[in-house]
Amino acid sequence: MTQILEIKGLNKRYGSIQAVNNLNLSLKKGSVFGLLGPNGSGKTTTLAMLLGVVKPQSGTFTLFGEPASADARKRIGAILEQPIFYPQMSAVENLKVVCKIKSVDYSEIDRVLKWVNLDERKQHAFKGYSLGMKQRLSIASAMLCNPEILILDEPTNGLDPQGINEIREIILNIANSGKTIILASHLLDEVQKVCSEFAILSKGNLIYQGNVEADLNDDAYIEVASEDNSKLENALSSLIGDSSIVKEEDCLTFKSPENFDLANFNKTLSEKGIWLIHLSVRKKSLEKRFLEVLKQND
Amino acid sequence: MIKLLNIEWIKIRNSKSFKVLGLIWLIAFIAIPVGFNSLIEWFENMGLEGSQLLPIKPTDFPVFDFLDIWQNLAYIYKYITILLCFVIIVNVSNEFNYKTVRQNIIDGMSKKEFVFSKFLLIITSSFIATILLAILGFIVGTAFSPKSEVAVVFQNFNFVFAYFLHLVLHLSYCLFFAVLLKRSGILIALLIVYSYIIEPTITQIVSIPLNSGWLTKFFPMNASWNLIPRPIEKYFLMEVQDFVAWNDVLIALLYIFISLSGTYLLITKRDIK
Repeated sequence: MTQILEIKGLNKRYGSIQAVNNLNLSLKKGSVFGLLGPNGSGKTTTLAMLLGVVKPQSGTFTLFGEPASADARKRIGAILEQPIFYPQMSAVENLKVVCKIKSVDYSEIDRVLKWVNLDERKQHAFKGYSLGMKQRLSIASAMLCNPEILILDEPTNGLDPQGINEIREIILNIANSGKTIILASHLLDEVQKVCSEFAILSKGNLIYQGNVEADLNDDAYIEVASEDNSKLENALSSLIGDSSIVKEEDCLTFKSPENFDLANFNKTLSEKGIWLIHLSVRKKSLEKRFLEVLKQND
Repeated sequence: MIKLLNIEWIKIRNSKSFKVLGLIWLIAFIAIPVGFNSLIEWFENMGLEGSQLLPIKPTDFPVFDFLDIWQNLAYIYKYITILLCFVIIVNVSNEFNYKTVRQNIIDGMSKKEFVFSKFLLIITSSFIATILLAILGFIVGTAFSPKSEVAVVFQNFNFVFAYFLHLVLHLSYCLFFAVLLKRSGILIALLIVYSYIIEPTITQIVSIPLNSGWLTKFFPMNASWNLIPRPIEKYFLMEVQDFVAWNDVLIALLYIFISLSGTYLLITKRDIK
């Protein structure tokens, strides 16, 4: 796969605060990338630099293999922090401005407004929209040019559960269509569901970069319980060694060994007269991983 | 260029302030010659023609006759330029208040294109106002003038071009300061105070000891006002400048260049928040 974005040594300082510090990152075409970090970690500043509204102090980046330019930005759909439109103008008039900038035909407007379920309110002024509608209009606007990269910065900020669900469905649809997505969000559950890769920023530094599936599989653990947990614990010790066995309130957990065969495991235990009343494979959540990485780097 | 003009047209046609201020400007534009003529007739009806105040009948002043009409109309219309200034100030400040300038750039407009699109808006509105001045001048001039030979009609027509330059310069100042301050309310107040109090006061203070207007010609507002000198005194048999001076044109062009360069530097060197 070709590199669609490559960042080298990007730096941004606001007074005494180093907002982004020597950031190096690359993104392959088609990947769905989660950019994580606590407030003030430099996520939005990084995206703002990629989108040409914040000037880096030093460092370079390429988009589509070329130095970033206004023409390259026309191939990107982006929402940065909040939906921004002319408040007195309708959805259609606002999207006409975007169409003109991106040299897209006006006929696309109806298509994207239908897609985000805003076609019935398309002639209403933006200032009268609910936050959910504003977010949906942002996504419609970002999708106008059929973008090669979609950058979404906190797309569910301030939404109610229904609104979050609507936006999540839309993002999942876009992700399934094979587009390259950069998603910065506090909602790690969302990132876990959508993204294939992720990076964690803290105080302007890139502190972790990984693959969602691989990272969470590596940290998978197994939860078991029987009528007699002490007998089970002894059996487990002889089977897998006792280093990773943790005694919980009414079950035992242990780190899943490589190529672990659950059926065979169950059969072995039953041959020893231990009948499991609970057996499940638990993956660590991205949230847990995120908090661990942050703690390690504190 | 057409694309950028289209973008500005979509933005401005949906702006309430443009509709309100534009309508007030248009009404004032049409009402001024009508009102001025009524004022002269009123003076005459008051019996002023026989007094020491006016040596001739007020209606005999060739205010709207060809030759004089271009300078007179352009001069009078300078006083409603401030309404167009408000339109530009509100338009540009709102781009920053609503953060739409940021979204325009995210969507793929370059910073250079943004500045150019605003300059195109200035040029276009100045051009339309100038065309309206020319049309109105022809209509009123034809109605009032005893002579309508082409040579007479177009003599002093350069005041129409001076009016265009005056508008472009004034609106360029507004563009620069709107990008600098980003607050329409403060800027409108500053514009009024500076244009009508601060600069005229400094001009008076500086002119008296120096006994010359050469320095004050370089004051920003004077650079715009001086393009169309006051013609009224000539009706009282006093000497007035009844031509557009080249040095005034050059000063105006210099200030337009400075305003636009300043706007470009502000937009390109700063982060767009």
